[in-house]
Amino acid sequence: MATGIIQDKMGRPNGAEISTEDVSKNIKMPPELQKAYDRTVIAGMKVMFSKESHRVMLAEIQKPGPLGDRLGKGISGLMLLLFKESNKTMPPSVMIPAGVKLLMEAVDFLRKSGLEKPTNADIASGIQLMITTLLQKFGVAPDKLAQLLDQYSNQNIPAAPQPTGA
Amino acid sequence: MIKKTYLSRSQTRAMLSEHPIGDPTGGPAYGEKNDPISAAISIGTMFLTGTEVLAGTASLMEGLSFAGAAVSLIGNVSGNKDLMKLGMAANIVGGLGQFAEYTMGETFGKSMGETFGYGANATNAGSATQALGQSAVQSQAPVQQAAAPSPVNAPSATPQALGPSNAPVPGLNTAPGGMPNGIPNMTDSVLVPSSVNQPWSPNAGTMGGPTLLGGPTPAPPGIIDQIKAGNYGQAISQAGTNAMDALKNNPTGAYVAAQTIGGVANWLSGKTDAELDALKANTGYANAKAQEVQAALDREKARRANLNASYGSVNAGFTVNPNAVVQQPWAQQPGLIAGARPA
Repeated sequence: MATGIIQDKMGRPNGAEISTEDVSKNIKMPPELQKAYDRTVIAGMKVMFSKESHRVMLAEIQKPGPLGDRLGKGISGLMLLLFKESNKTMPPSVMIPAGVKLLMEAVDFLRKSGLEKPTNADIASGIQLMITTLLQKFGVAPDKLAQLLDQYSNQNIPAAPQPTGA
Repeated sequence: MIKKTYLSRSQTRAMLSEHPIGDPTGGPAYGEKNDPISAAISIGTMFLTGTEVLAGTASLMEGLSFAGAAVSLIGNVSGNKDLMKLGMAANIVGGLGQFAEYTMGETFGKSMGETFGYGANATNAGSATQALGQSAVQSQAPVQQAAAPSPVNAPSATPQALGPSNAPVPGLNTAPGGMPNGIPNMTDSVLVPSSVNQPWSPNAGTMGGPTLLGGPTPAPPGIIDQIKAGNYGQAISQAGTNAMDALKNNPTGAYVAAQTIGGVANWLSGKTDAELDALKANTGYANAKAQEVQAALDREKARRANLNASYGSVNAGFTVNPNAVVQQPWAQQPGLIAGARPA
């Protein structure tokens, strides 16, 4: 099946699992926003891994419920917290890219620490929930977003590869 | 020398909630578990003004285009069609923020203003409502008018011109100007000031940096600062009652969040570039934490295994070879006199 320009140039994961590196390669920040993006990612990592708040993150991870939901809610909350604490000087443009990156960092942490084994489906649902939550906080209701996405026919979506398991 | 550490008044107040005075059956020893992360997340539940929402949404959705390829990738690999659509939409149109620019135009057969609820009837758009209302009216202009080239957005004058191209559309967020059909550009200075899409200046202080919509207006103290100062009432009125309920019920969680976020705010404002660079260089930061947790998990597993094992099969974490021949040091080394004696 023929693929589009984007997919042809898109970094592909080497194995079955989506890796942080593969996702990071596909985040293309414009130069003028690169520094703001870096700051946001680093600040988010500090919240997640700093001595003071790391146990808070661990407690959040160990909550019951689907892992994707926990990831999505946690990272979207983190992004909103950072936005608020920057007195809204943080460009909203970096929120979703930085959120994607931070979510993958959290996934990486879970894999390496052995606390959880996030699957690709967990990552996808987490990112979807994070984006939906952020858009909702900025005034785009989920049903409005669904209306937008409905403009795209499923026929335009390339067939997904069969999941090979985590 | 005895080192004494005194808590501040606000810290003491926060601690009192977890170790309540006069309640002998309160506190963590009696199963009262507070949840700091919920408080931290609740702090992020902000309430933006209508104008902020409008400007922020456009900018936020523009940001989606930067991560569009990554979102597509994840959707493609995981088989999540919503993510595929989202990534595709972001990539094809060059960012959903531009969708908002074309709100008044016919994009994908429907007014995006209607799609996002920012049509002429939108009432929460503050000062932007007037512009939007005007735009909504003008969007009824004939299509031929919409196709008229604009000096600013000429290459992307019509949605049709975008087509399936993946190329970024010039003119995005560049200068105030009219939309193809004479509609004010949503990214003009009224809605989105230049400060929104600019990298943070190192000189921009946490509290005095450029705000989302205004110029260098002095920003009020943040919620965290209010909480740190013990002004719960002020914080509640600032953030909204619902969002702060968790904080009222859980000031200890707020305290933990405040301790952490205080430093983060400095980073976000660009005050600690050196620290930022140092941490960026430390690529093993998260890995070290992961290994720390892994080691703790291993220790816990070993401890539980030992508890369940019989006395003779306790795993001490190392093995001993009982058949090993160990040289006795006193058998080899002569004494001082014997050693000094000539052979």
